[in-house]
Amino acid sequence: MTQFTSLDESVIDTLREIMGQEFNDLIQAYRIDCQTRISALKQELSEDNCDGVRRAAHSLKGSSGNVGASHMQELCLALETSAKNEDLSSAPEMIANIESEYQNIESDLNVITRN
Amino acid sequence: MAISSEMTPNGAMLKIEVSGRFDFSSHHDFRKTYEELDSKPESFLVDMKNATYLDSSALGMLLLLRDYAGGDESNIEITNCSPDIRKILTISNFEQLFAIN
Amino acid sequence: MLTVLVADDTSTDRMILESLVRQLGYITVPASNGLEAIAFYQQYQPDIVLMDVLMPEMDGLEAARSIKKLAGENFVPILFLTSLSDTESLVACLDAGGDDFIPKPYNKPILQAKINAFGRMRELQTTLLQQRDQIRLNNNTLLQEQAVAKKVFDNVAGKGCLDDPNIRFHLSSQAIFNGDVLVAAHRPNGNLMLLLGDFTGHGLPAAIGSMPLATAFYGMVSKGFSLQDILREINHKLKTLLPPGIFCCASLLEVDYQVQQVKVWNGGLPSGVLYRGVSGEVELLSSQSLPLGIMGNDRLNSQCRYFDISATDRIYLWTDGIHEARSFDGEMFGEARLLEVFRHGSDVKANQIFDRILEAVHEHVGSDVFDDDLSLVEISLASPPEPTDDQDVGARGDQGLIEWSMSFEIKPPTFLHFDPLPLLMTVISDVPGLRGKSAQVYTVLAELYSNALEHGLLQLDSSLKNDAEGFAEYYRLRKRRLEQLTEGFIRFTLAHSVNGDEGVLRLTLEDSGEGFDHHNKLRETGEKDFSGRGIALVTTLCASLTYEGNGNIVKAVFTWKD
Repeated sequence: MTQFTSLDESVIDTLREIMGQEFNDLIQAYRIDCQTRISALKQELSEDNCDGVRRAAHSLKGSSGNVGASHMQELCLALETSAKNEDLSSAPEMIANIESEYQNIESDLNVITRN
Repeated sequence: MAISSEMTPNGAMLKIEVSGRFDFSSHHDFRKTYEELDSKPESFLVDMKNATYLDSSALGMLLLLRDYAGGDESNIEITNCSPDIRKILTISNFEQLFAIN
Repeated sequence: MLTVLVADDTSTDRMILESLVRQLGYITVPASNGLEAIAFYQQYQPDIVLMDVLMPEMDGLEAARSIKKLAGENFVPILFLTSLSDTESLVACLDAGGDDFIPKPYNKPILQAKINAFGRMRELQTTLLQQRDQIRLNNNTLLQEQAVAKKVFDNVAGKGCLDDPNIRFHLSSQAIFNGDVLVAAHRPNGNLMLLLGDFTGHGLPAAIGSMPLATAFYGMVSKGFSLQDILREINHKLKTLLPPGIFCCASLLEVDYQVQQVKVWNGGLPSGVLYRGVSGEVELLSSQSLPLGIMGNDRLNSQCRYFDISATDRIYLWTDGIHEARSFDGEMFGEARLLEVFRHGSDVKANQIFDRILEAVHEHVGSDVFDDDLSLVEISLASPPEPTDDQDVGARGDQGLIEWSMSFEIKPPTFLHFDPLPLLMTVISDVPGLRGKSAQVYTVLAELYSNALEHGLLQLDSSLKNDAEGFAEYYRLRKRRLEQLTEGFIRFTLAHSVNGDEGVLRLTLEDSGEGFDHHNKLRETGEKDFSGRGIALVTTLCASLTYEGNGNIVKAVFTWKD
């Protein structure tokens, strides 16, 4: 049994059960989701668009919850809350944390799809 | 409106009690009192003690009972009529068809 | 199988949800934003919509509003997919038409329970709508059928004289379906005959008896049948046709304008009123018989009451709807209030009573929307109606009987129970042009027949009728001799021809009696006293009137033009 750093193994097992043959597609979709949202976050931040940041963080929070990426979920929630309060002062740091957490997730995902 | 009925122990007479308004809404209940009997009693007593009102549909129902009970050979008594109810029965001359008191 | 629209812009969310829904056995339609959701709703008509709130292009709230609008009265449940938890956001979802929430992350049993529950609700709603449409359809059909039934009835009743100026009436627009029926017509002798009836119950069962009643009434009145004959025929018909329990309370009256008398029969209707115009007094026309259609004719009390009338008198009849009109707190209008209207005497002019009665009922019921279930009729006894001469066909009419003759003989004991006049009037009324003269022809026939019977066959002396005592004696003798009559005859011969624009009807009555010295009698006494008033009237109606034989044959020639 592999020990995941960022994903909840029991959630992954449940998803495997739910999705069946489409499990790998889901993992791939999550990867794309993360990459799309992270670049969106950066883009919106550069434009100083609070609402854009909030939406992207909200989406990433949702899909991360689905795959049991609970730390990523927490990071996104914090960013979403700040953006909602129109405070982007610590956003660059938060997005950097999100990006590095995605690296951890990515290595977990590689383990999962290799099996 | 409420209709209740009771058979004398020897099965000779069916007593039907009418309460409240005696109109078309009582149609089903009234017929049920005699149509579901195992055997036809010799006589009927319709007690109007608690009846407050009677319309022409009710007169029709009394005629149906009379028909069931044997028409001219029937033995039906209508009792305890209030003055208003008595008047409606009188206008239609139902004394000729029923024993009313 | 239910079709579920899944609208979510996050592909992982959408994929997981679709997969879960499919495992529950439903078909899924994916949409990745609000605009797609609306487009796919229209295209696939899903049964349930699962909708994310935050989506690009168009968010879930706006898409939900559009879909609810498109769905109209169809129930399409919209369940919002949300991890939002603040009350404000949830309220916004409900405001947009959302029916429930599915919390993220998804929980399979909860998702299943919710989709199943809304699936059942939708099914129930669909069934309800179908049933409602069916009921609406049935109701429309029913209304249409009622309209047809009413039209048929109006065609039957249209023959009457309810539009005479001396008749006023108020009937609910749905009268025949309340079981109320009003018919009126003139007898050939000009008497007015009117019947107000109230069948048991409501709706079709109540309406169904009106047709045979009206047909019998109009058919018989125009042929001159007596009130008793009509009563017995209607009673017999209704008794035969209607099931036990359905019957007709009715009042039937005949107004004889010439002798100023009214004849009233009432079986089961509330007492009507004869209002004396001069004194303001009121006489009640109370029920004295069983209603029509309950018992056979042997048990029908067809005895009538007779009232002498004057031109200022009026008669009022009503059904129990007027007594039973209820006020807001359920109190009935009742007979006492009704009769109170007449007691105002000099305050109320006679011609206002009709309106006052309706006003009083309206006041009592006290509502703008008056639940109209009452029938009221007023007959003013003032002016004898003009003889109706409105028939359209003249003597040369090209249809029906034109050139013909007939002979008809009656012998004992037929005289006792049979009145030949209605039968003859049936023939007369088939003659074009003569139809409009049937009142005059009837009078001529009636006078000549009663002379032939009473003086010719029964040898009664009309001078007996000079005083009231003799009058009674006359009719007592008439009855006894009629019962004892064993031989003799009266023969009618009717011949009709058309001469240019003139029609000619020759009536000959021959009786087997001894006749009389018509040569001397005509000369001695003059026409006025001769055989009573009747012959004077006949001579004014006919072109000629002659006696032949030993006075047992009388010939009348009746002519008319277009």
